[in-house]
Amino acid sequence: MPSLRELQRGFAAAMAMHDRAEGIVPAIDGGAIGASARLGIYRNAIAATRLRALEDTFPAVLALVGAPFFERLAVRYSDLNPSRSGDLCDYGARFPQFIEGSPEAIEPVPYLADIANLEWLRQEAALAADAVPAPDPRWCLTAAVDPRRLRATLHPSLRSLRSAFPVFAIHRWCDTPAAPAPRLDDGPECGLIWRADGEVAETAIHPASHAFVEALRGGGTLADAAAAGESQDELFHLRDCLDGLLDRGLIVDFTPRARNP
Amino acid sequence: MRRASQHPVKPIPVRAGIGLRAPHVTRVLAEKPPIPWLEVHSENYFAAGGAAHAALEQLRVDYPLSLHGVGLSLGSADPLDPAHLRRLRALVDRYQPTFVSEHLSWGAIDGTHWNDLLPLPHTREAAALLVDRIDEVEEALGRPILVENVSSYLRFHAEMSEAEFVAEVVRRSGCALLLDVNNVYVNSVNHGFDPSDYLRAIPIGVVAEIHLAGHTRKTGLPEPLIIDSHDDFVSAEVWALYERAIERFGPRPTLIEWDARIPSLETLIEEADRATRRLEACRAEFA
Repeated sequence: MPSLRELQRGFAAAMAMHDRAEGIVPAIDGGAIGASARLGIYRNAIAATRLRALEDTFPAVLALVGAPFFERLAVRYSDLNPSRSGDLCDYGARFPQFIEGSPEAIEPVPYLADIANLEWLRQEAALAADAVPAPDPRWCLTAAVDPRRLRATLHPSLRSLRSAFPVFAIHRWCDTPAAPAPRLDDGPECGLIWRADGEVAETAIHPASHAFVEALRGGGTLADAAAAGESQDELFHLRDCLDGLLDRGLIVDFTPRARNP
Repeated sequence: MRRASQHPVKPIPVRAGIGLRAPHVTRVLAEKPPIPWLEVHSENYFAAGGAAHAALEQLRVDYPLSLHGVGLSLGSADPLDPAHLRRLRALVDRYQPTFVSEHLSWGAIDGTHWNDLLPLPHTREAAALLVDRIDEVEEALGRPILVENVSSYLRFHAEMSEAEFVAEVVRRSGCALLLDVNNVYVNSVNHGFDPSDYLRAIPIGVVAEIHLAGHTRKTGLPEPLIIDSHDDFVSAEVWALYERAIERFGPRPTLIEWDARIPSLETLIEEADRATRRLEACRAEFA
């Protein structure tokens, strides 16, 4: 009888590849059905579980490529990116990068990796920590502290995305395919993804607002972030952008930047 | 940061509850149907925040709760995943469930997770490892856990029967057993043993909870095979075995698991009521 570790390694090899079952077969009492067929039940169950996890996380990718092609992608993803957690919520983390590196996926659907990325960010937003905005973070903006020296604490669910494609319009269209299809020459899109009242929300935003949010996410002050926004568009309006974030509860607090010693 | 639950631990009554799955959460929250208790999969609440936690906070107020894990991989030769254990501890601290349970199976080796309840060899080495791991988990959680016997589609050449293996693990660990009666029946068909012998091999007094579920009988194979599909009503054979189990172990909190082709909430509650009626009849006999 092999040791427990040897046996589990043999079983894992048989799960990974049909033709690597010979190591574990002698340890199995296969009966009339046979050890290989019995191992196949587990192999199929594992593949189905992994496929379902990806389908649940990437419904728009599934809608865009269809079930048979999605399943082929899922099998190859599973071979190249084995699960590293007992929690399947983590399983799709590398799926957008995998699609990006799969010519058979992105040649016919060039925006597919960006859609996958958007869906993964939606998953992150859905599962992110809760945060209750300060009673009225706007007070800081009228307090004695120079508002441009403030840092913003953003809602933990807030994610941002920049794409060379109209990715938010395509994603909306996947949800309502009866609507007119977006045109790829509608150009690049930036947007935000977050959670509000338990539901994931998303919206396209101006590239300058995207640069502003990215700078805040990187720990910059309002002044740093405003400069990032103005670098994209000289008409960037700090107060309008801030109000948009505050109205959605996406800035939960402001803190003054520590003075340099 | 850990958040201690604001709510006292509710005892789980000796009646039948349901495994609460996503399609029924909204209705259970809104209508608060008279379900004796709820069990949820621990890993479905591993996220830092979000709608699932908001729902569970409320459900915890309205119902006794059990956390049932499927991803800890108790029987792996790999060490337990410390991150998984930390997330489970945070969940247990937050919701203070009445029961916390896991499976007598493995699911990961050399860092790769197969996200399934894979069968263990019924050997002294595997039993000893499980006893150590149960101790490690109970130490990490600061509380006892229950362990569940799993269904299987193959068995390894072994040093003891499955029932002897399970009995040895619960005896040496001092851990209570979550007896899945459907799994006993499925394995009895898949591996050709008498399920009553299995029940007789489990010591009286160790069973703290019972699971029931539906299964699928495969056809066209050279010998009988049942898949533990959790996608149907409890079969007549499993109800009969359940009656024998509660006759032997006494009436115990029981749970209906239904994870695929999930029926209406009414159907699920009716199925749980069928188990509760059997528990009440058994209790009358015991009185």
